[in-house]
Amino acid sequence: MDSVITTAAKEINRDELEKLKRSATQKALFRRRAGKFALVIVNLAMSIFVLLPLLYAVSIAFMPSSELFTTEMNLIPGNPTLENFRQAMVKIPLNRFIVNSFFVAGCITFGQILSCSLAAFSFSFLDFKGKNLLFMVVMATMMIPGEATIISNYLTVSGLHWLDSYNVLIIPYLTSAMGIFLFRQFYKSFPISLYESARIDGCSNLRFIYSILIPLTKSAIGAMAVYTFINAWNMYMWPLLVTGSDRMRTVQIGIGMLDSVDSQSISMMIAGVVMIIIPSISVFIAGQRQLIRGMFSGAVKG
Amino acid sequence: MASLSFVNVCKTYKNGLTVVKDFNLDIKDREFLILVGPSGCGKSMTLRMIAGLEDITSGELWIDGQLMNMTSPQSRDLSMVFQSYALYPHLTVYQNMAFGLKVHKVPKDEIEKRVGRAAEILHISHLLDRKPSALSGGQKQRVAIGSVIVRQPKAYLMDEPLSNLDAKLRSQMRVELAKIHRELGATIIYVTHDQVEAMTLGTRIVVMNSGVIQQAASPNDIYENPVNKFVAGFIGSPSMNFFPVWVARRGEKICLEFGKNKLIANEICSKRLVEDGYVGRRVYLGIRPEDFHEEGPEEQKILFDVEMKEVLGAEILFHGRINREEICVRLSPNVKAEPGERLPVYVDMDRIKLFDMDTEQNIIYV
Ligand SMILES: Nc1ncnc2c1ncn2[C@@H]1O[C@H](COP(=O)(O)OP(=O)(O)O)[C@@H](O)[C@H]1O
Ligand SMILES: [Mg+2]
Repeated sequence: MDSVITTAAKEINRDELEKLKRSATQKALFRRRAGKFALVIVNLAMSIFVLLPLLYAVSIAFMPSSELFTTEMNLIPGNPTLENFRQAMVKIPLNRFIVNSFFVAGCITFGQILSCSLAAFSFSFLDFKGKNLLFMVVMATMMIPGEATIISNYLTVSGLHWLDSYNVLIIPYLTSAMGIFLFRQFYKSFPISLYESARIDGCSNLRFIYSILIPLTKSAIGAMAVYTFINAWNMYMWPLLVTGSDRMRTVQIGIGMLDSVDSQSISMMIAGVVMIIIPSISVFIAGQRQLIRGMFSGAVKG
Repeated sequence: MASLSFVNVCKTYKNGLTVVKDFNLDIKDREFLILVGPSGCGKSMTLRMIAGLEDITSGELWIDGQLMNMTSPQSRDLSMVFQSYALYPHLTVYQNMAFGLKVHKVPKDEIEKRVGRAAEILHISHLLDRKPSALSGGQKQRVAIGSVIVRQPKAYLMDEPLSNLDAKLRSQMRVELAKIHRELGATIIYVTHDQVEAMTLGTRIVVMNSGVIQQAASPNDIYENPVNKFVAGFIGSPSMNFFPVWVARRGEKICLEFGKNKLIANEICSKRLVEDGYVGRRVYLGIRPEDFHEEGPEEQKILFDVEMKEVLGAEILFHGRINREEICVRLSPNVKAEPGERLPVYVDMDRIKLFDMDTEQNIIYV
């Protein structure tokens, strides 16, 4: 008798316990979801705030000039038009500029990756006399601002009769102290015993580089490539100084040409800007994953 | 396969620290040579100098009659297992093991054959398609050994290759390594700080301390006839007990006295002690834990206070003190004694060692 009652009591208890548990988990789940939702909202608001100038520029590029210069607040074009883009293309040889920029930035990227990774390799894996001194000299070049050397550089290249050619746009930028430094930092986290093991296995330095070092530092190379490409694409001062003809101008200079005194059309200029940021944004998106992984690959041993 | 010799090899760092001092050694073809010593004594450094990863400060290294000091690691034709595995993370186990062969342009079917065989020996055939990140520590270590034994270099260098394995796997791998050595007929130079590995694997053991060779001899010689107190204490587990004792002449006999204990030296010891003028001086007496017995003649008896006992099944280890000196005694499991008791034990006087107080050299070294 007794035992029947106690088991019944237990039965009830268990049911109630079950219910309590379920409601508790539901509450916790709800709280977690609400937290996530709030985060998404905040993030959306922030990203709109940050992107607003860019989005507004894109929107202006599609506006007829008449819409822009009104007292009303026009965020979205009323009659979207491609006229601005057409005008920009007519006014300057933008195609040629884009091709130039791509070619120059591509060559610079390739050259920097090659020279910087090889230099960093010898600084981190090889042992030679004066290694540290040489590295300090390389680093010291980073401390001289580019503006300070630009005149003498100009005189040098003009002495070589390189002005207004691809040579002058590409060759001075084929290596960079920053790149060497970054690659060396990446290689520092590379286990030296892998290098030693490969050497004992009979591997030459070059073979080690292409069959082990490059596959293992792909993300660093990707990150460097994106960074270098965007930097080269955005170069302004040097190309402005050393190129004179439409044949050799890069896009950043070309955009400057849209801003002439006689015909100022803001919407046309912005259409040009929108056109030239598309390549750099797409390079960034393509390399985004590499870039982020590359940034952290030195931090966490993987 | 090859023979190696070291002539007065030294390694000194720029800051003046000498890590390896005056290293002289001949390693014969097919020898399984063990470098053993406490951590930081320069074993890895010696191995790395053989491999060419470290410059030799002075002295000569000869491999097969050729001076190797200036040869790059790539052209020395050796292969090495690193303490830290050194597997290529982007290659599969198979590719890792085949890498050295590919560099040496071994034909593809030959590579397959050799890798397959090595994988079988090491029980890793089922792992060949995995990346190193998907392996346990023991498996990684076996792959590292595998990528070394597939090659047929002049000599194999191994730097503590079993240090990351658990006890069971380690003893298994010890057996495998001994087998591999026999099958390959290879010259192996093997670094370890584990004296069990040293005793079981080596055909010859080199005991090092602070960069200096203490003794190079067969495992049995090292154990029975250590050249000095360091070697005697380093080899053997639990290690040898040392007591400072007075050497005294009592009538016809030479006695070793410490506290109230008095042991009578045997003929050989007495002769040496008298000849070398140790009578009336103090020396170190060394007794291995297994050289104590439950019974024996009265004049070999000593008493010690038991402080702790470790029951190991086939034997019991008693830890305790004589006077203030610590002592460890290994006895059969039917000895009944508890911590706090005073236990009489009998010393096997034919197996004791005696060491000079100052030089710590073995007085009865033969
Ligand atoms: N780059 C270095 N500079 C100075 N001393 C070093 C350097 N590398 C190692 N040592 C020293 O060399 C000694 C021997 O090291 P090692 O051969 O690795 O010892 P182990 O016998 O444990 O393998 C150690 O005492 C270590 O401190
Ligand atoms: Mg070591």
